[in-house]
Amino acid sequence: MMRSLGLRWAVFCGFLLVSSCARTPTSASEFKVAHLPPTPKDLIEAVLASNQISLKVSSTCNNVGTESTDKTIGRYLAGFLAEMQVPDKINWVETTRETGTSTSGEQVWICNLTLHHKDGDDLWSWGVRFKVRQSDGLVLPDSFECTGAG
Amino acid sequence: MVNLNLQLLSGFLGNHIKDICPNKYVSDSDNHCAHFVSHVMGYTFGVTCRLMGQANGPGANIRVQEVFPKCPQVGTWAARPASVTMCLVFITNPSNVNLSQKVFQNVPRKHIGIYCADLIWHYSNSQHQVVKQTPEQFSHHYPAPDNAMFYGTLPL
Repeated sequence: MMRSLGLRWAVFCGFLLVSSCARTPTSASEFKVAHLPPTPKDLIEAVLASNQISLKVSSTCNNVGTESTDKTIGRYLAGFLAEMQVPDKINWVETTRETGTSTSGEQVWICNLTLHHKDGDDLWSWGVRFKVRQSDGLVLPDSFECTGAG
Repeated sequence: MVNLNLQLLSGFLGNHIKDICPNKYVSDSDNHCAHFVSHVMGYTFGVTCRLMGQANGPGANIRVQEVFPKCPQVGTWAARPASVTMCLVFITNPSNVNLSQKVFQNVPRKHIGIYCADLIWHYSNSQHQVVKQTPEQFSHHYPAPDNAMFYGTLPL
């Protein structure tokens, strides 16, 4: 049941991300999370809303796309979401948050969204880390990093 | 540069990544193939466990696509010169690799190990430990067509 829900979520998000990539990448518009502190749903919404952020935002995002033409956070995540479509494999989405400070010293939540896949030695976890300002819930676009290994 | 030899690699056999990484980047949900290789070889370039984990010790690169272009010479496994007796070995779908431009796409099914003494030492993410295999055994790491093997001479 969980696996099925995860798959449906992945397909839905993949559709949203891929369809949004028809636009030319621009600087991200301001986005605030729906609740303070943000819920898992709020963090996922924040990432979806930030899909046009350039992969140049952080050196951790160099060459993370599944295709060399990938230019945005949305396109990067869409590549791995597309790999989660096989229904008999283990896929899940993880969100986390912890308190921290921004580069300018503001109190923030350090948030992670990670896409996980597990099928024997075909095991990976790729995602993003970003900061949300605690005072007003603003997602800090320049804070995005790309997480994952392998 | 690390003095790569059988004794060094044997010391890692059976180790979990938590026995190797001082930066606590050790989740079993993460893929540690490049992470293991980089700790053994001392590859500190690019995105490291120190950057992404807790900075307690020397960092090691954690991404295959960043290690591959650092290899001075790359090629298909079949084309590996006889003189190359120690090198890195990669496995993936051949469409993910551009040898002339030395580019390795960040696709899910890719893996890396160290070739030494006719064996390949790598981190098994399913067994959560360092293992050694013959090249023939390693060629079954992924099913076809994701099992094309490539060599890369050791980054300096």
